[in-house]
Amino acid sequence: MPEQRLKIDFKRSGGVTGMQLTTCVDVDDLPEDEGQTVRDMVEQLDLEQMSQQPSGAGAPDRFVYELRIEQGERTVDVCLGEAELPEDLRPLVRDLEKRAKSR
Amino acid sequence: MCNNCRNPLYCIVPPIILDRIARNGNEGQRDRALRTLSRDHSLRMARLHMAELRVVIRRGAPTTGTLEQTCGNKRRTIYDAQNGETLPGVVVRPEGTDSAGDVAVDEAYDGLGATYDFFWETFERDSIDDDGLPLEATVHFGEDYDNAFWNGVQMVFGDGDGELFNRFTSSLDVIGHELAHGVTEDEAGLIYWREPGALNESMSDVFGSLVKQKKLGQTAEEADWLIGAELLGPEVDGVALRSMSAPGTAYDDDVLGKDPQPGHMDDFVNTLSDNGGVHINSGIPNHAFYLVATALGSYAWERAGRIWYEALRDPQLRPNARFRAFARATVTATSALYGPGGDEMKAVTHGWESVGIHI
Ligand SMILES: [Zn+2]
Repeated sequence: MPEQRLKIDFKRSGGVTGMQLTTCVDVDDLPEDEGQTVRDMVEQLDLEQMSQQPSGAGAPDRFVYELRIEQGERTVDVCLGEAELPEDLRPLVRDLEKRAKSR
Repeated sequence: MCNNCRNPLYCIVPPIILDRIARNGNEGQRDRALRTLSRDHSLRMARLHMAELRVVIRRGAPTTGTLEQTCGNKRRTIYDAQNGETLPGVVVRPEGTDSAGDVAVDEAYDGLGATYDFFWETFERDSIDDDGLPLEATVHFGEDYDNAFWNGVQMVFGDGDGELFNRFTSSLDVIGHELAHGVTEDEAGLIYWREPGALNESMSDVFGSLVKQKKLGQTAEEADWLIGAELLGPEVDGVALRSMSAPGTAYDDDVLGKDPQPGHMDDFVNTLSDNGGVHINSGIPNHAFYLVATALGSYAWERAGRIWYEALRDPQLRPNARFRAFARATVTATSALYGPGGDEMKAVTHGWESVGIHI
């Protein structure tokens, strides 16, 4: 059975630097093992709950994370401050930050 | 990688703004919001009273001097998070102790010292709360952490990834920037969202830059007016995080993009990222300050800095103040400090006009 489509748009804004990091990952374009790692990290998430969490009042110089995750037929948007980032989302965010930094 | 890499705006829920919750929130939320709002104003009134008392004591007849002795004394503690994210971490350098050879620890210790001295010597402000608050900072926070912040209680510095960013204690103006967030929170309490948020950011850049200028003994003409020049990594095409003299010119890099700061209201950036572009639109009030400081010449902290500081402390300045409200507060402060018809007033009104803020 073919795997579900999985695409992620990522943006990190804010921080004292104010410099944005962005990347966009289509798992089908990744080497198989790398793609599976990303799929596993997304599998762990409660996307519905995450997308409904309102972003809190801004805190000075903390990062703001924006993700759009397109998985199969559904699309989930998440916008969270660094301090509100749930533990299970952190590995995915760290991975996307690394990808956004590669030249 | 997908080829239609959009940059859509995902932040469809703007960060919570206190007065909106106070009107529309449920009972618990409303209570918390109102408490935060009223705390801001009652604290400021209490502090005004304390500041007046202290002036009386300083200038008045000999007293027992207990207040006097506590003023102007730094109380710093530097902690090490040991690359974890638990705050504050372990104490590595309390006030008055010698260096143990960790450069980030020493930069934080010296940088907090320089910032404390700046506020004390320039404005007779005794620490973040003008009441001798001990200064606490944690270094080596997180792994390859590309950031520094003030969390309402203390300052926190990452090591950077070593490629895009060096350690965040390496720029004195960034240390001053973080401590100034504490001062702004304590005084005007500017909401961290859109225009008041960009003003909040600009206060930190202004005072951060002044801390560095005073430490180096530079006049307005001699200063580089750059923020974070030292912490840009070797791979980045750029000179700093921001330029107050020429917003939008600090960097142009493959990974980080181009410096998005405007220096004029015509180019105000509407965005929901970065808490409504607080690190972007701060370029506008930053540039106004630069114009005022260079028009007046000599040391920027003496007149331009004093005007900005008094405006930030103006009890009329609301937490949701926009650029124009702050500009008006600088005019009020200028008039009170230097009279309504002098060079200072000309410089201030011309500075704001030049960035498209009409007072
Ligand atoms: Zn800041």
